[in-house]
Amino acid sequence: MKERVFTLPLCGNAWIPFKGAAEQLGLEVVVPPPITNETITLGARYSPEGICLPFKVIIGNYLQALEKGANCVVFYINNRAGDKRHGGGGGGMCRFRHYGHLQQLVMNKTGADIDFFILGEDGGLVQQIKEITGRGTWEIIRALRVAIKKLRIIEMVEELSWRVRAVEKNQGDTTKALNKALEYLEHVHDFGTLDRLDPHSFFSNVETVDREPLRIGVVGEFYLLVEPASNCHVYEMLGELGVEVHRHLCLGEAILRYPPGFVLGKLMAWWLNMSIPPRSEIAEIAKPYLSCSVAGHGRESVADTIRFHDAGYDGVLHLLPMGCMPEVTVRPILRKISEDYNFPVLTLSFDELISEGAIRTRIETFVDVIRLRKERRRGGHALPGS
Amino acid sequence: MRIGIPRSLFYYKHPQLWVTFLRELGQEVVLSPPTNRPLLEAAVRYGEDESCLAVKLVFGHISYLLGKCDRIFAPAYYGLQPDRYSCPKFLGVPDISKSIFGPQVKFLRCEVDDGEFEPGMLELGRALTPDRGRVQQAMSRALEAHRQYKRELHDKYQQQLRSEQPKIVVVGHAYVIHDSYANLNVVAKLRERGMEVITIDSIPFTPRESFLKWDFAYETMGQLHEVLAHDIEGTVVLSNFNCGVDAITVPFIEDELERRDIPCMHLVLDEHTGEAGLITRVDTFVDTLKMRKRA
Repeated sequence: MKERVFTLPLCGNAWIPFKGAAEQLGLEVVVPPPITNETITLGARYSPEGICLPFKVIIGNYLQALEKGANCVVFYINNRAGDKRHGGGGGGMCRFRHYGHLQQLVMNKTGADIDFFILGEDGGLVQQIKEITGRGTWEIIRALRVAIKKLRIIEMVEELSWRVRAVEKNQGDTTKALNKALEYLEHVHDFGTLDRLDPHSFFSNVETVDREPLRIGVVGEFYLLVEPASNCHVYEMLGELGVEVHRHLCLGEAILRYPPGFVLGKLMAWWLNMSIPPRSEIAEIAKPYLSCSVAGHGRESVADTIRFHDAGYDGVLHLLPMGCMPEVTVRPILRKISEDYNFPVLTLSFDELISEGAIRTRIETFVDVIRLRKERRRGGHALPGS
Repeated sequence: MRIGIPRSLFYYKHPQLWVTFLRELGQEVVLSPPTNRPLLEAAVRYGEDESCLAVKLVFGHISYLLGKCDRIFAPAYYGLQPDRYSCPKFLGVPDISKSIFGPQVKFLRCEVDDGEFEPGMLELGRALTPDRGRVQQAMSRALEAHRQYKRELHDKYQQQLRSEQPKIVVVGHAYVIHDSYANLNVVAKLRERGMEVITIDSIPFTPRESFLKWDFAYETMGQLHEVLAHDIEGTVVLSNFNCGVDAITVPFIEDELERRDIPCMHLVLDEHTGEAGLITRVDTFVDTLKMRKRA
């Protein structure tokens, strides 16, 4: 039997904890090179034309990882999340549910010699990992525990970096601090160390200025929210314009909310020594505009736009891959909310042909508009771009 | 009460069912006309620009019905097969219409899950009339009308299989195949060129295990398997631009056909599709089939 070398699709910095866990379990892992335009073009060449951007990027990842010597792919599909009535997550009606099979078809067509392990497809995640690694249940659970904890900490660090970047004194300091933090976290494999870590400590050396930043909430499709290369690095772009960003979904949070029922949820919280973000009343908040789930995170986008408004944010940015089924469905609703609440919402739709320049122009304009609005409300006035 | 039914999406899936049901309950049914130029223009105006044409057209038809009826009928199809899902864009139609046309648009909802019509129909019927017997009767007549409609389609299919002419299967959503204005009459164009055109919805469906979770995709794969057992010359796949379901399904259909060595033409339609270009492609495809036969 040939030596298995595993790879996984990139999804923000989520590869760090999962690579760590896989290596702890004795697997050899090759991480695809960072996503560039070349990755996306490569993926788009082999993918079906009508499929959404995340799929094309993932295929690009695989092809580039193959060049680096990978021969097995591990992909995860949340089989349960796509409950018809409750939606949420990538299962069910959203195209994400079929990614695994389509990836196999597309990769076979390219003639690549590659094996697929689709976790979560037939339930029994731990069982499947056992079959792949040949390790014991306890070992797997411990590795997963560290991975989830680390993932959550990475997300907290990212979240903090967007906050700090908006008020940093010397441009680029935050990015440097963030990279240093990620590098450090990559090599921590001990739960206790992670548990004692204070995410704020990574940014204590960044000099900040005293000003009140604008605040923008980001809603939309999951992959675009978590993979900066697929959204032309809008978070950094906004941070450099002095805007604090908060996204409504992230992977770790989704995992923490995964266990069904109260008891399992509590158990998970205890196991990870972490508070579970409360299940908010998404359905209730979205109800005046959307009475049923439209798969994916469509309903979450609607509810969270309203929540960002109520929390006093200055605007909302809605990110979606072009043609995304749930997000396209809710787009007219977001427009209506923007009208009803007199609240700026900018929708950006991404595909493989998007240029960073176009996005930058629109983001800068949007930031100018909300800054002017804010100044005018206060009774002062400001020049655009000031 | 006057109830408007937009002649798009679900209407083409169950043309007899809902009309019969509502008429039997003593309601006046207002059906929007088949898609035409003004409706298409309204669709482009009201529809979301990244939706597929079919979903845009629904808003065109709803805009026609505004003011002509008291309620607009919009069933929520969660899934038309057990354990399968429908397209999420269908589900959002009533709520999005409210965002587009304002809150004065009133909808009648009827939930269909796992392919079971009865619970939703009972609920809807009770909201319309207190007479339970009448609801039961309307329901059985409506379901019978639908079965009758399906039977006729299947009979036609059996006849078509016996035909001498070269047979072509047209694969696609019912609302794409049967909306002849929006698809520029492609079915008639194929017929004019001497082809026996079998539409996918006329083929009887036998359940066949598949990983595809959408009811449409699941049915199509089953039906395709059934029809390919016969002597089929070629396949035309019709889909709308930006159709999310087809983006996944069509690669698998093409793969299946490639393995069986059956020519397949994938036509992607939207509101900008030019007729001249379509004619060229249909002509070429028909010529290809003829040449293959000669060779």
